[in-house]
Amino acid sequence: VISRVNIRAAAVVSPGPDGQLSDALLIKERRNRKVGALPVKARMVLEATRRCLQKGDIDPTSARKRPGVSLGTLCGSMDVAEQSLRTVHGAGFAEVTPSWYATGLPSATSAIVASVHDMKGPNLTVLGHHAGIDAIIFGCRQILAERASAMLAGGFDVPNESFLARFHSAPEYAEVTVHGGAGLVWLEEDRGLAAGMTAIVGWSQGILDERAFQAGELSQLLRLAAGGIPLSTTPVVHRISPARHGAVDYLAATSVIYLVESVIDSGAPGLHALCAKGFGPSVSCLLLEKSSS
Amino acid sequence: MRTPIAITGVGVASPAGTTADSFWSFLALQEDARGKWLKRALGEYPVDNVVSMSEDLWREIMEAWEASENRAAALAAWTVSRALQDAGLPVDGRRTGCILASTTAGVEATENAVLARSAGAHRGPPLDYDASTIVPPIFRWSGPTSVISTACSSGLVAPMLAGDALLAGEADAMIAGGIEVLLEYTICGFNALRLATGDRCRPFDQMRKGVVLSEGAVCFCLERLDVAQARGAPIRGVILGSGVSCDADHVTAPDPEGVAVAILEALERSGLGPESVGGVIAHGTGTPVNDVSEIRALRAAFGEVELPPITSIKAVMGHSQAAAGSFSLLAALLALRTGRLPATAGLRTLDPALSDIDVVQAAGPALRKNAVLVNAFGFGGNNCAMVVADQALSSGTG
Repeated sequence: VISRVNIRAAAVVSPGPDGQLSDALLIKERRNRKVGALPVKARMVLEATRRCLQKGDIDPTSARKRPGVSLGTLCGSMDVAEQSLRTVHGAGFAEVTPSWYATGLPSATSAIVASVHDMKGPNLTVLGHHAGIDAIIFGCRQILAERASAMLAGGFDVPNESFLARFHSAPEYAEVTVHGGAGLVWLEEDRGLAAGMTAIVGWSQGILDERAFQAGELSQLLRLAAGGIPLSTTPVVHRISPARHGAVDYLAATSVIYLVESVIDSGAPGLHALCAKGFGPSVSCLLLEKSSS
Repeated sequence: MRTPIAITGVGVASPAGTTADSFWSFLALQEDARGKWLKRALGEYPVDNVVSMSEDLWREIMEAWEASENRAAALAAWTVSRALQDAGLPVDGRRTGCILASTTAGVEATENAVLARSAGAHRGPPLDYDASTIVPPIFRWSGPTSVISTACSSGLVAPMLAGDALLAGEADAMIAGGIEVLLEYTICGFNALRLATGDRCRPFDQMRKGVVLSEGAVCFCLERLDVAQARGAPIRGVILGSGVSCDADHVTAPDPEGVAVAILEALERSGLGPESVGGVIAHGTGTPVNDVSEIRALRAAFGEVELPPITSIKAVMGHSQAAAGSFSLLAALLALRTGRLPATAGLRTLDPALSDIDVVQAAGPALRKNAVLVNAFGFGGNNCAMVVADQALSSGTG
């Protein structure tokens, strides 16, 4: 029985202060033989995938059992809904491009990544602001359930216009900068943890109101993540929620970009707990162990 | 066979009404339930017929949700609470989680904004854009909670994932199912793909032309069979095994090879051979490509074993996308209870390419074996299959 899941590699794509998704943040290919035209958000996630595979020297097709993909997104198909409806009610239905719908579904990006990299295992998409962490948890579950021996997992988003309008109309978010971005990890069954590497040793999900989350009342979630037993070591706790003070918000990519940059790449060795909360009361928690370099 | 998962409760809201029995009666009538979409006129589109929930039912569901423009949240709360009630399961004191599926949750706010139907009406936090908020917060979930979207396989994938969470010991009970609200954006998409038909949906017919979109929700309460039996829960059926795969190929056209992988995994995990399957609730969308691919995949998975009777409920229920797999699973449970598969309505002349299969028609033959295979597939090559049975089979007495 697998009791832990290793993070073999991780990568992010995040734009500079101007928020522009420049060519350097997108794979060069604009069309794919199997998929056809590639939407910008898919090109961004494919670039993050390329970086992740390269960092870990990973060939997805060599996994013991078919690898899968598990991605989280908040905005999902909202951009395509805007584009389609504006076209219909502006230029007319005849101007709607047939491929918009299928390549714009919330699940289309994970399917496109699977197609391009021939990953035939479970293909999951999770919705919500904290869905990047949820997607990693689902990736771990797929490995535990032996439906895959490895999973590419994480979060991505490119904000759409009407979401941004609503977001910025709320006083608490009025000044928050929102950018597109992607954060990915390559999960695989535990075969020992190399120096400086990070493993996921537990997870939990539950309901917590905003006050309790901000007050750090996370003991129940941490206990569940540890399998119902008290932790022998106090973890470094990281709390991520929409619009953290002074930080750019990457929507569903936020918590995974934080995980990669602040825990996997530069966190201190030891136990970490990363708890992510979305706009609602759902909270997802990852318990991570980072080995010494 | 791995530990079976008991289905101990069902909550449903659909064009057929709000009970499992009304759903079953609706299927038995085999009537053509298509009509105009009542939310607004669809004159811009070549095809404008849908199978929708009645306005009265929507008013009832939305009664407590006036502040929300996310009807998926109201629909989820309605069906989740009924599934818990049906299972006789209080949430408090148990580790209970909720995994829901939707392709449109969160998009309705976008649609309303674009169509300027809510200008200035909602200025609070952007909750209605976050699909994860459709998991009803009124229940103090202490198990896994998520909203997934795997296109039209979602409604079967959600119960599968909930079963995995139960087997991993993350919860004592899980609510799982598909929630789908008809949106103009979806109607636009299926029209653009030329997959929507103005004719009746006719799965497996030689003149089949496509899908008729619909909406609704089904949620199931799932528990490990031993846990359900220990608390004396009502057991509506048992999930013996499930399989999931991705074609990793075309965006819209299914690959029979990828579909067969999911079916084979479901059979392998169920511990049953194909000869033990008494019937198939097919994905059966009635599109020219899907039906042929699905039968090819079944043939590949069943090998030398003759395919059991096959049926599709989409000619009556329409295609409710993320809820479709859940409706098919509900049909399988009711087929096991009644001993009879629902008929494939709308079938006039069987496609000659499928002439060797036994498509259930009229009242249908008696179900000869007490296990049923359920299929659900989605764009992007998302495939899911599940083997369900009655309790007797899971305990070795069937």
